[in-house]
Amino acid sequence: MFPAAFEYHRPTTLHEALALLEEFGDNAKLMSGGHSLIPSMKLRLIQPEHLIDLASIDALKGIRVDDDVITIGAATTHWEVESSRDIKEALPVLCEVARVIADPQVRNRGTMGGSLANSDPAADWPATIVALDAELVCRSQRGERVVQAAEWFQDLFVTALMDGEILCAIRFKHLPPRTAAAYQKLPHPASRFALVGVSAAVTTDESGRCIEARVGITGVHKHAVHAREVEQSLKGRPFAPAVISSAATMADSGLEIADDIHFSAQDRRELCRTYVERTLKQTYQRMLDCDFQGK
Amino acid sequence: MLGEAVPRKEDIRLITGRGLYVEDLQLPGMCYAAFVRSPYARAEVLKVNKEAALAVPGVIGVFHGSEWPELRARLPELNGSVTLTSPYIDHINIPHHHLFSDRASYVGEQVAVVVAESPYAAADGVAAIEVEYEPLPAVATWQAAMKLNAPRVHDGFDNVVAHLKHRVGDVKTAFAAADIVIERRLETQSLKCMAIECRAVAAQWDAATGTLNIWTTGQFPYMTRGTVAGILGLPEDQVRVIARDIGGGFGLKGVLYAEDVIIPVLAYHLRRPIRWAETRNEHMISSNHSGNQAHDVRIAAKSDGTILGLDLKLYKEVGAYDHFDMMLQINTVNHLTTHYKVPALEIEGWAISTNTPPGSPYRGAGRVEAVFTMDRVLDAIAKETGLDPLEVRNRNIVTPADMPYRNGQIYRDGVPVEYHDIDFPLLLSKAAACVDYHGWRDRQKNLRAQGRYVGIGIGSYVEAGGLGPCEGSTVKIDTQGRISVFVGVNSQGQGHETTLAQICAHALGAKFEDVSVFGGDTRLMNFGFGTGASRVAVNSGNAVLRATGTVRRKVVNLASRILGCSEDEVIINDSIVAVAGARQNSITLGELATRAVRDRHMIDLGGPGLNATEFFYPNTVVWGSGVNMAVVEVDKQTGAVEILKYVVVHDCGLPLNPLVVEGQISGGFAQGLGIALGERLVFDEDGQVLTGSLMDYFMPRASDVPEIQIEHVIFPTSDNPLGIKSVGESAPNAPGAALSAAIEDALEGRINITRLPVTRREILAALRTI
Amino acid sequence: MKHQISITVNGAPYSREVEPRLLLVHFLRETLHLTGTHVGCDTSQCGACTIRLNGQAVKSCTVFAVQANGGDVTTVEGLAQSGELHPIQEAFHECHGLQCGFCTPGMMMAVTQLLDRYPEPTLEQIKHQLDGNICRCTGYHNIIKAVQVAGKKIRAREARVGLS
Repeated sequence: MFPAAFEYHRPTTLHEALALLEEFGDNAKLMSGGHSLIPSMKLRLIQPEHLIDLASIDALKGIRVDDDVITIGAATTHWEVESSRDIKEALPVLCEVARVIADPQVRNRGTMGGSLANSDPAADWPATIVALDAELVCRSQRGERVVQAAEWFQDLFVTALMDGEILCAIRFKHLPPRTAAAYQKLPHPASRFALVGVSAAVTTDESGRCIEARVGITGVHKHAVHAREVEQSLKGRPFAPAVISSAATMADSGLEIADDIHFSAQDRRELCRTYVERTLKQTYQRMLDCDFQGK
Repeated sequence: MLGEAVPRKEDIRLITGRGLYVEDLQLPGMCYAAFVRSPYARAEVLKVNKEAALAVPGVIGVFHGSEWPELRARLPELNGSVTLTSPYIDHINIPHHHLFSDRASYVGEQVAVVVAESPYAAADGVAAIEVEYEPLPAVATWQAAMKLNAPRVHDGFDNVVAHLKHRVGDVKTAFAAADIVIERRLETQSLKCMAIECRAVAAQWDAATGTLNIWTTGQFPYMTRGTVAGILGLPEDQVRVIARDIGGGFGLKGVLYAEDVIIPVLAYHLRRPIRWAETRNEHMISSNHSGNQAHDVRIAAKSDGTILGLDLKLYKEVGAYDHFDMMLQINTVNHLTTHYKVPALEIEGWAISTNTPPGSPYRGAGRVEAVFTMDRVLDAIAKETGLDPLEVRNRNIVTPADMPYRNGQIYRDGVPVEYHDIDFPLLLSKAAACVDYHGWRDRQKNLRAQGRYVGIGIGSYVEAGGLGPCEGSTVKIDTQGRISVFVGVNSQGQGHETTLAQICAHALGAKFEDVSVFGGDTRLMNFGFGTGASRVAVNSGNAVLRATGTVRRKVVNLASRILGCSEDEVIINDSIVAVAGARQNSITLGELATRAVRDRHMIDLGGPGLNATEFFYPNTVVWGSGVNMAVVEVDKQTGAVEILKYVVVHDCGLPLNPLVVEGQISGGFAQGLGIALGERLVFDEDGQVLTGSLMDYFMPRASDVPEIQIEHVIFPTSDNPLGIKSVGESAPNAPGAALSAAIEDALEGRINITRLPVTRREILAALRTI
Repeated sequence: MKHQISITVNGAPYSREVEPRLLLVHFLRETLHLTGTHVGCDTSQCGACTIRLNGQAVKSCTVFAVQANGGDVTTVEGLAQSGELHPIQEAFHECHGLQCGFCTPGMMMAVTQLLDRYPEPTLEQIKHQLDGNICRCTGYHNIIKAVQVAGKKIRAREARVGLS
C-alpha cells in the first residue's frame, strides 16, 4: 500500500515544531513513532499535506527519575521504557505494560506519547496512565499546560490535546510505600491490542487495609477509564481476595460495552470483571511477596 | 539418501535474500499496475471516468476493458485444471467469468486498471479515478442466496449452480432399524489461505525472441500459458510462464485470476514490462476464499454404538464464480467416512453462488469438513450411548482384515475408492498410547473436582493424494557430470528441489550435491499439471524415478562397453561408474556423458547424451491417513483454551525426507489450529469483509502454537514404485475435529460444538451453564 | 519536494533523492535493489519486512525512508559475511526453519535482535520475541529450534573468539 504525497518536516527543536504546527494547522500531522499513523496513511485514511516528524527533538525524549517525579519524554519508545533500568527501579509496572504492547519491532518504534495522543481505545498505556494518575505535559506557542490523566481521554480517538499543542512528556508520581501495582491484558488474537487491559495500583496501611486503590481499564469502553466503583469499594476495607472478588463485580459499571465479532457484550462485561479481579489479586499477591511491582 | 533427513538445497538462496519472488523482478522500463475495485457486492458499472487519473503524474494509461477485445475475454470454465467431473454431479450451469465486465459481482472485483511509472503513481491513479456505479441488491451468504425470490448473483443463472447426489446401500432400512437417530447442523466458516506472499504477476514482451514472458505466483503455470496464449492468439511456445520462488500457496494461488491474464495482455499491447503485486488489503477483499460449508447430517446407529447409516445434505458457498464446479464438495463426500464403516450413505449437495469473491480450495480442500463431520458424529453417538468416544471408534473402525476395503464411493477421478496398505486400529491405539488417553480420562475426574476443565478429543483423517492425470520429468547428465532434473511442477515451499533430487541421486547412484531440480518454467517441460491436491511427490517423484531409471540404463549400457564388462557388473556410487569386484576400472558420470555426445552406439539408446523424459500415470489416488488426539484445558472464567498435549500419528508411506515430512505436519497443524480456534473471514450482510487485515484476521503466531508429538507409522503402498502416500494436505484436516471434541469434553458435554472455528463466545456461554 | 538522504546499508553508504512518502522497504527493494526484504501485510503485523535500523529490529514497511536518513541499516543480505553464512542462517537451514522462505528474511532479522537481547533465551522468551513475525508454512516448531541452535552457535563462536 502506498501513501499519498506529503511534505516532510523534521524540526530539531520544540520551538521549530510548534511554529510548523502553527503555520500548517489542520493540514499538518505530527508523527512520533508513526506506528498508528503510517498504516493509516498507507490505507489513505489519513492524507496530511504536511508531516511533522518529532524524532529529532531531544527535548521530547528520555527518562528522568527525580525525587518527586518520574518524567518520560513523549517520544520515548515502548522499548526504551521496557528496558530502562531507572524505570525498572522506580516504577517497574511501566516495564510490565511496555513489554506486552504489540510486538518487539513495534515497541522499538512506537512511543508512549504517540500512543497517548492517538488514544486508541484498545491501546495498553491508557489504562496505566489513568491508574497511576499521570500528568500529561503539553506545550503550545502559548505556553505549557498540564492535563490530568483522568481528563485526557475524552472520546473515541479524542483527547484533551488542543490545536497547536504537542504532548511533550508524561509525569508519574512515585508510588507511596506499601503500594503494589500490576497490569494484565487479554490480547486481541490478531492485532494484539487489548480486548481488555487492566492496570491497578493499591496502597494499604500497615494493617493491610486499603487506603488507596486506582484501577484503569482499557479496551472495553470508547476510551480508557477509572473503575471508580471498584476503587471506592476497596477503600477502607482489608485488601484481601474476598474483598477483591466482590469489588471486581462492579468493574464494568457505567461502561458502554457492545457486541463485537469476538464476544457478546455480556462476555466483555464479564471479562472486564475477571481481568479487574485477576489484576487486583496479582497486586495482592505482590504485597504478600513484598515484591510490590513485580520486579 | 532416500528417506534421509537432509537439509534443503533451496534454502541457501532463500536465507541469503537471493530468492526470486515475482515482486522481486525488476526489468528495464518496467511499469506498475494497480486495480480499481468495486466497493459494492453487486453493481452495474455505469461509467469509468479516466481523465483525472490520466492527469496524475506518472500515469501511463487506464484500462477497463473497452480498449482491446482481449480484456473482455472469459476465464476458462474449469479453472482448476486437475478437476475432473465426478459421476456424482447431476446438474451444473456456471456463469462465465470475464476479465472486465460492466457488472461487479463482489466487493473487490476488478473494475479498471491503472498502469504507471511507479507503484506510488499507480496508486495515485486509482485514487483519482471516479467510477459511477448503480448498486444492486446482493446476497452475501448461501442461506440468503437460497431464499425464494432472492436476488440473482448473475442475471440468467440460478444461484444454485451445481448439484450432486450419491447413494451407498439402503439408508431407509438403516434408519428404520436404528436404535438411535441423531441430527446435527455442522458448519465451517470461510477462510483465507493467507500465504505471507500475496499474489503477483509480471509480464514482458521480449521482442528479441518473440516471447511473452510471464512471472506468476500461481500453482498451475501451464494453465496460465494455455489461457494467455489462447486469448492473445499466440502459439503456446511463444508464451513462457515462470513460477520460481513462491511465498506459499495453500490453494488460493491454484487458480487463474483475472489479473494473471490482464497484466500479460497489457504488457503485450503496451510493449512494456508490467508488474502487479497485490496488497494485503486487496488480498483480503478480492482474492478467493474457501467458502462457508454446512452439513445437515442424520445418523442411524444401534445402541451398541455401531453406525447403520448416514444421511448428509451439503451446502457450499462458492462465491461469485464457481471455478471448481463441485470439487470441494466431492472431496468432502469422498473423504467423509474416514476410518469408519458406514454401510448405508445418502448424500445430496448444492453449490450456491453468492456475491462474495470466488471460492477455491484451502489446504485440505473439503477434508477438514469431512473429518469434522465424521468425528462429531462419532462423538454424538458416544454421548447418546454413554460409551467412551474411543470405544465408539473401535466399534466402527475398518480393520486390516477388511482390506482391501471399498466403501462404495467413487473418487472424483471416476475410480472406486479402495483402502489398502493401511492399519487404522494401529494408528488409533498408537495415538491413544502417546497421548495417554486412559490416564487423562482418570485424571480428568480429579481435575474437575478441583475446578479444572480438561477434555480429550480425537480426530481421524484420510487423505487421498497423488491425483493424476500424470507428471513428467526429464533427467539429464551434462558433460561436467552435473545432473539436471526438470519437472512440470513448481514449489510454494514444499522442498521439491531437495526431495526430488534425493530420488534422482538414490536411483542413479549420483552425489546428492550433483543433482539440481528445476521446475516452474514452461520452457523446461512441455507438460505439467501443477502443484496441488498433494500430488507432486507421488506424480513427479515417481516420474523422476522412472526418468532416472531410463538414464541409468543408458549409463550402464554405455559404461559396460567402455569399461569392458557386462551390464550386471556396472556399479554407480557417488557419481562414479565402476566395475564391481577387484578391477579398479572406473569412469565419472561427466566423462561418460561426454562420450555419450558423439558415441554412435547411442543411436540404440535413443540419441546423443545421457538423458531421458518419462511420465508417471497413477491408476488413481493413494490414501494417506492419521489420527490426532488433543488434551485441552478451558479456563472457566475467560474461556481461554490451553492445549496440554497434542499427538499426531500419521502414515504417509515411506517419507522421502523426514525433515520435510515433519515440516509439512508442523505447518499443517498450525493451520488446523487456526481453523479450530479462530480463523474466519467474516462478511456483513452487504458482502463487505469485516476481517479485512491482519489486524482483524487471526493467524497463529509462535506463542499460539503448542508443542506437538509426531509419530510416523510407515506402511509403504503398492500403488507406486516409491511406495509413498501423500502428506501435504494431511495435517490441517484433524485439529478442528480433535480440538472441538476436546473443548466439548472439557465443558462436560454441555454444548454440542457444531461450528468451526470454536469461538470464545460459545465457550463462555457454555461455561455460564456449569 | 524530494529529500536528499544518506543511509548506510549493510556497511555501504548510499545517497539518494527520494520522495518523502517512499517507504523504507521500497527504498531498499526498488531503489537499492535489495529484494531480500519482503512486504507481507502492509499493516505492520507480519514482520516479513523486518530489518535492523540503528541496531533495532523494525518493520521497514512502517518507516519512511526519510526517517532513516543518517541511519545504519542491516538487511538479510548483510547477514552472511565474506561468503560465510551467519549462525542464524545456518541454524534455519539445518533445522528446516523455512519452507517457502518468504517470511524468513524478516524472521531471521528479528532473531538477530532476539539473540542480542536474550543470548540464552527461554522458550517463553523466544515465543514472545517472535510475536512480530508470522509464518504460514512451518508451524514455528522448527523456527524455535533454529533460534535455540543459533544461540548455541553464536555462544560457541564467541567462546572461540574469546579463546583466541
